[in-house]
Amino acid sequence: MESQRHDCLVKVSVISNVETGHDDMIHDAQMDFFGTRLATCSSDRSVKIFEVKGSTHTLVANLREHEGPVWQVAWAHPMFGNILASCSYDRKVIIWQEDGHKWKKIHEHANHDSSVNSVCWAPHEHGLVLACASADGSVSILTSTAHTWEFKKITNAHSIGCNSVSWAPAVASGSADGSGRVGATPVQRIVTGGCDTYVKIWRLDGASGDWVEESKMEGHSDWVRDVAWAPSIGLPRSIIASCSQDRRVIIWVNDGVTGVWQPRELNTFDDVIWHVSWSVTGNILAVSGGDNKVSLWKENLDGQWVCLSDSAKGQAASEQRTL
Amino acid sequence: MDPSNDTAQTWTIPDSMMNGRMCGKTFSLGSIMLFPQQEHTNYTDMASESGAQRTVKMYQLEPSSWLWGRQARKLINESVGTFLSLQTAITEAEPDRHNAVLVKKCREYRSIIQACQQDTKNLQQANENEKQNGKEPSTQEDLIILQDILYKMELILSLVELLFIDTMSDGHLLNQLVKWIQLHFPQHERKKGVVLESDRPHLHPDYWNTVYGSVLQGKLDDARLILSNHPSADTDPFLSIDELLRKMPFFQVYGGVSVGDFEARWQHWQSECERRLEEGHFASSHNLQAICKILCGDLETISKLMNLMDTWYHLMVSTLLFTKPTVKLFHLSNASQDAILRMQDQQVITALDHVLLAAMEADMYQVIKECQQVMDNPWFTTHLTDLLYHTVQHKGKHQVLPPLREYLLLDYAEMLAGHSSLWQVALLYLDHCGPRGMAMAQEALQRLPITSDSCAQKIIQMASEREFEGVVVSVCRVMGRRALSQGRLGAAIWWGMRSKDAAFTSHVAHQILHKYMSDGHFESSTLLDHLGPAMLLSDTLTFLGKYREFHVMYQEGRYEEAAALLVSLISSKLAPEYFWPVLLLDALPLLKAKEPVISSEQTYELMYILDTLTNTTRDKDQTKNEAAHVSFLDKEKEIRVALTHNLAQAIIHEGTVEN
Repeated sequence: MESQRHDCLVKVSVISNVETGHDDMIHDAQMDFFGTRLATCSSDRSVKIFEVKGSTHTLVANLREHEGPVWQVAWAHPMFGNILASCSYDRKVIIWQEDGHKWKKIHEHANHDSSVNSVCWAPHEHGLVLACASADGSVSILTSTAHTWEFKKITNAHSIGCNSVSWAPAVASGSADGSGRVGATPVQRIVTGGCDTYVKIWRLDGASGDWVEESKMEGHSDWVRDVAWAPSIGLPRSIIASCSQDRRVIIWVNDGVTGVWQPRELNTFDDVIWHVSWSVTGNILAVSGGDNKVSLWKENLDGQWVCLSDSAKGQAASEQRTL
Repeated sequence: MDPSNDTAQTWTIPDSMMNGRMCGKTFSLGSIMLFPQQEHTNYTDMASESGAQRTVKMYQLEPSSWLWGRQARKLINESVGTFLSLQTAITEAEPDRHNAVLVKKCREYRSIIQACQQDTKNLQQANENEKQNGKEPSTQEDLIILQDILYKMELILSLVELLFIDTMSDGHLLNQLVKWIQLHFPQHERKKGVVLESDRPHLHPDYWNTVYGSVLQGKLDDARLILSNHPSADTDPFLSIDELLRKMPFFQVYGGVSVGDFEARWQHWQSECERRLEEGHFASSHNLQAICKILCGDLETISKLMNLMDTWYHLMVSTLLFTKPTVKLFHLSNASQDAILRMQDQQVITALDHVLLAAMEADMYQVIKECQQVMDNPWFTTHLTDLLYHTVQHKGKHQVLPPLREYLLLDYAEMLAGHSSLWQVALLYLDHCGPRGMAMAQEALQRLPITSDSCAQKIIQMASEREFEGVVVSVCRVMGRRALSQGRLGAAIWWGMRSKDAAFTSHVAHQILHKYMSDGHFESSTLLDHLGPAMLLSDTLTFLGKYREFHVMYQEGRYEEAAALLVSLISSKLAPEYFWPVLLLDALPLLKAKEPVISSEQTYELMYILDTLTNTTRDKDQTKNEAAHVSFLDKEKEIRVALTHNLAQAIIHEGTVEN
């Protein structure tokens, strides 16, 4: 295999560490839109919210309503106020809102038959909409209306269970340059990954108002643990990253012309990969897994995905090259 | 095999909790968060693992670089100025003026780097003097490293300038290279000063080395000066060498001599040197002999003096100076390889050498690539690539540079955008990156934490300038929501209007009306008085605006107008039902006016409204206890009487007028 040269050295320094106060393992941590608030959730059933100022973190809320380990948290767009969603082993999805300086539960969605594994808010152009993926194999989409929350369910999205859901960026069909045109209604699309090894794309059909399966992508040979749709970078193409129990990360690219999703294997790692997440500009992919490393990947000019850097426990730091 | 093990940079996080569990997420622009994540499987019953009290920590990482240092701030700000002026100047300049523009801009960049070098040096020295203040040694070390980086960047840039940008006629390349060496290896200049100031220069241990060094750098006048201090300076050998040194030809670009003629002259001169050497003019002094041998281009002699030259490129230029004065660019490839070979025992090839070699090979792309390998941020490569891009653009040959340039610009801009004080600089670069730049600019603008109204205004202004309507709407909605949560209803309305959010604006308008009903006070009345056509965004807002107009008219004594407006507001159903009592109460003084201002038709309308209202209040269970509503109930009878009275008056009045 030819050596892959990284395009730009990133020197990284630890600027702060937060004592979370959780009594047990953290399952998820998410920064809000502006990077001023941090939400964490844990096996200790709590959701904690911190205020972030520079490198100091102050606990502002400790939310305890779930009856089981909380798997994920997700922040809604700030234009809707300070709203957070959490999902848990207790089969529930809870939506919280800050009112004054207090956080309270504003909605509870208890329509699943087993653990809800993943929640993801839609781009704000669609309104206040939340997708939830559950171990019972279904996906529910909650939409906030004037006074209440309505939901639609995609039953049997993945047999055995659905592990992850992610929304496509709201680019109006036909607008390729992301010039921020307001007015055209964007199409609602999500990608899901499940225990049936598939990655599937679903679209909200405008006419019927139902969610239909648009693509079914085969490539993994074991449970898909996480999927992430890359933010729009201003080009017509779309990119999805998926990671799996089969130790691989696959990058799916749709050039926006042919409508076909081309898979490209990013890498085969030494252990199971649990998590993939994109930077907000869609340029860098962070990959985490059981191999005890977090690696950052970026596409270079030749269209190759190269590893920028690794953060690892237990590995000696290599010498930085100098001129 | 995981290839990321080979090439990627690795940092260790010293935390045993992370063992086997580290999870990382990126957030904002460029920061990473790490935490120990418990992997969960779907069906196992999660028995709690908590037995011992454990601290679970999270780590926040950010890219660090000398670019964020205080010293580099000026560098960043000045270079964006040069970048922007370069883009404009190139588009405006005549094709034959392009090179001149590029040379000027290249020199600006170089002087920016040099200024930064100077600042860093000053800072380092200031720190040295204040050692008692306990300055960390690491800061000092960082400053020294930075100076080194800056020196090397300037070295590369000046070479690029003379090889690619400031290309003149063939004969001139050597002169440029010699100047380049002189500029970057000033040690002989210093030594010369030391030697000449000593009591007996010719006995100074560095005396002859300084002479050799000056000759090798083409500083022949300096060499002559030092030689003239020798006691035997007026002996034949010395005079002879002095003459040779004086007469060495140097190519003049505007000297009127063709390259061919110059070459002939130079050969003639070197032949004279050789002749004098052979005839034993310098037999008495092996030092002078050595000098003459240098002038004759004797490789062995030159090589022996390697320790005076430090680097292969110095060696190369010195060799060319005395062997090939009309060197052309394509000769440099061989010449550099040759020099490296001759010096191989003295040195290790560094990354810098790779860069310079690539330049000697006239491979621009490789130069950039080599720089990328070792720079921890794209500042240098971005500006360098931009310069080279413009240099070759009109030739249309290079296919690789345009995408590379865009790629680097985006990289650099993204890095800047993640920094709280540099995002505006980032935007200036992103304006030149095509659709990807626009997308990133929008994302960067949207993600800026909005700390105040003025901050929001600034973001909106920058977004509007670039026609990012989506960003403007997004910011306005966030501000509107914030204002509402802080109880600033007037501000909320204003932001709601600005973001064209009808639903939100209606919601706030209703809040304002309810507030008026409970405390009789209008929030932000001045704002509401000047809504203008934007009030049409939502019905409730329109009503609010019109109702304020009514108040104003009433206060100004324009009763008839006010009355007409009031009635139209009621009859057009623009008014929300809960507000009708207020309107009827407002009508009361008008009904009691001496001269009827409300016509009979209008009175019928009001009566109808009153009836509808009383019927519904009787039917509904009124839970609202708002002050206005309570006073309405009190006054209901009074209103009825006033209405009847006014009706009578109005009919009479109208009857009279008609007649």
